[in-house]
Amino acid sequence: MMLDLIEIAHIVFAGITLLGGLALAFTKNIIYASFLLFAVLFGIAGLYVFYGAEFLAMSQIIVYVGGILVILLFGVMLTHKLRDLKPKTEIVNLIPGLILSTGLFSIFVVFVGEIDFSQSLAKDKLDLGKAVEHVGNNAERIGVGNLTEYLLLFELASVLLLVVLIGAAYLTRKPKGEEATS
Amino acid sequence: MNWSDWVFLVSPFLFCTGVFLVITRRNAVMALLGIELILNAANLNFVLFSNRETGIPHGQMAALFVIVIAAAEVAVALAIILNVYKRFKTVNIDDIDTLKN
Repeated sequence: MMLDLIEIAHIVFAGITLLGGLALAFTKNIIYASFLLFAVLFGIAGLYVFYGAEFLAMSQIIVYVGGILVILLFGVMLTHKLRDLKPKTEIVNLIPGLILSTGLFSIFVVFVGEIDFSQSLAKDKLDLGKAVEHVGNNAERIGVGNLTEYLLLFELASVLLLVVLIGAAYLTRKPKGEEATS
Repeated sequence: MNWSDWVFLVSPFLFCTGVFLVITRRNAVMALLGIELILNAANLNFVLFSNRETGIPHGQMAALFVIVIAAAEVAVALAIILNVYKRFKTVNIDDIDTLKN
């Protein structure tokens, strides 16, 4: 089997994702875990490009890597005293966790083995030369979808984000009367 | 099973890793990382199976809304975690058992 450059890049991004996930499962340091999650999310963004979703890849990097990870790091730093910096967490339930997750994964492997993908759309997605032909209209199609079929969901998402913005600010505010003491 | 079908196993692997993280960690922030991993595994499958040539890519739309919901969820969850830390001085999930019994 000859591998061309695109396939090699595809495998590299999948490898970043998989190795990052594996390391994430066994690291004890929360700071390391946050940065490993960064690697995993970045690898997934790369995979999105190969599956013809450039707009989603950019959203992934901007929203997840730029937003959510920064918030998570904030959470880590605010919930661990910086003086005695011990951002460690122990691993509990190791054996049940291993049994459940490897069992689940082997079930998935068996299922994927059962399915014949040769007829599906996803197979021809992996014909990456074909993917290159369609580069460019992805954002346009998502925009059309947002304003036609998904208009209600789109508006609801904006309302949800507003609610969450207000709610999170309300939850983390100082109660009345404590402003003077701090 | 074809050898090139390995692409369909990336997202199950991430899903199982997320489940493992949620089960084996007692730190609330680490459990949150596991949930993020599970959401991303679902997203990856949506994108892998969405149509990408013409028309509205429904799978990608679903993934987009999942990203929106995930952002909202992380913001609220961290607000709750900060409040819990302020009250109990810990984020260990096992120690927060006021409602037990």
